[in-house]
Amino acid sequence: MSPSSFSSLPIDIVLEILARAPKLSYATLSCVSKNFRRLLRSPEIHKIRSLLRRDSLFICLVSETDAQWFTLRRAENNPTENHFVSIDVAFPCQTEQEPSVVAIGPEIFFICGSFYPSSTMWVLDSRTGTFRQGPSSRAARLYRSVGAVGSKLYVIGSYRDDEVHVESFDVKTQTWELAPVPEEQGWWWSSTVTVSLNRKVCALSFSNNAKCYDTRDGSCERLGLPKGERLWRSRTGAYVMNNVLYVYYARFGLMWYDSEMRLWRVVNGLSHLNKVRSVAMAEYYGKLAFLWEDDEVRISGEMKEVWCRMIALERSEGEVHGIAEAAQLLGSVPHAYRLQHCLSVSD
Amino acid sequence: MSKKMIVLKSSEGVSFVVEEAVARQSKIISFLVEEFPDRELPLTNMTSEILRKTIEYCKKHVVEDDGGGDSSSSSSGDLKEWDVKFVAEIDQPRLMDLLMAANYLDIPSLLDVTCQKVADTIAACNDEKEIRATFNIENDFTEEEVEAIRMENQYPI
Repeated sequence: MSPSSFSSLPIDIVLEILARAPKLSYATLSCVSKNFRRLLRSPEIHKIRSLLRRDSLFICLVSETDAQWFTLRRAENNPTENHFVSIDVAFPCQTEQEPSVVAIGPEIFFICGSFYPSSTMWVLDSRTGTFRQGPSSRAARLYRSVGAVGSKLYVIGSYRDDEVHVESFDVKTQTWELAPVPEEQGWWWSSTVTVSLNRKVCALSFSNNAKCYDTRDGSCERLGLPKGERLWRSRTGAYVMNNVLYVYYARFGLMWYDSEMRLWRVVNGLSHLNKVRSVAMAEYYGKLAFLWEDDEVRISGEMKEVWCRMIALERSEGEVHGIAEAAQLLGSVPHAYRLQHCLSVSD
Repeated sequence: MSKKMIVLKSSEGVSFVVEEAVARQSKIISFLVEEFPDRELPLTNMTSEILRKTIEYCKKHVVEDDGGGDSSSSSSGDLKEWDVKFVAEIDQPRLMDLLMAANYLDIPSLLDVTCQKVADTIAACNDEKEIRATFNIENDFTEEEVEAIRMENQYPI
């Protein structure tokens, strides 16, 4: 046989190999060669991952007193069917009301410190459903924005003397480090809606502005959000996929941020979809899983339905085109619950 | 009742006598023995070493039909452990050859474990340079192109 080299392997075998690599390694793999980059962006890789059932969504709905977690997973031997299942996630810290929650690879990180200063972090392993206490950050902090850049978590919050500092947690080395102090201090960094874009952590605020913290030097820049509607209506209505920021506004539909032109544009091809409120978005096998609550149709007055639609997003010269699949009813929840987290988790 | 045997011949002309049930895990061999019974099957693009490894895998994974339904010779947990050890003992070039053999002979479970092992090796590399060196892949990017990808959010710092 020919000497072992990737270039001599048939394309379908290279796809089989790449699909089995952890999602976390895809950014590095994209830099190996043009062929790798092309294959990692192809729909075929997601088809294989889907058959292997490597990715899933972890969805959390909360009421005043309670949180209920669900998973969305591919059905076995059927790459088009999804199962929405209630799971038992017992968050070990009773005193923490609203931890910041971020997923990196197969793990979900719960950062404490919403009401009382804290340096505690809990880590949920999505494969086993068990919690472990992660290493504590260097200092206790209050109010924060948390974002994932590469294999690091960035926690922006006020530590001592009300000064805003940043600590980063490296998932590979499992260690905390001080990150550059943000140029801009102040109330920005108390946002509950945080996304990561172009290696920056962006806190989306109530006033339709976002502040972005550059993880490399601490510089900050403003990012204007579309005018006309307040984002807080649904805290899960912003998501970054393939380094493109999407927000959903009931008034305009799904929008994306053209970071070169610094403009918001509407995603084409979705104008026929009904306007909804209370949405959540996350990547699911290369497509955008778009979830929403439907409380128009009240089932016996006390329940509301949770729906999902997969949207394929294709970017070409100056536009993003969306192709929406049929809506799927996932299940119903008591009316008091609302979408709080929607996390894309992958092996 | 004696078990039916077939003969597989490697590229060096070495003959391997194996139980038909063992060899039939390859969909290609399964097809060939039906089309050409009582013939030895030449596998001209497989070395004796790789063919021996492939047969070793198939022997371990053969599902014995004892009349009372299917029963694997080992439990699935033991098999998984065995698979991990099996691929761990093979060096990089031979692993790629074995992967190609699994593909050529159409043995889905062997293809799965070998692809997974290669994927694990890739994931264990520190950066793209190490991946290129390990798998002999040519870098066809310019420095600017790589820099642009690194600006994307998920690239590790």
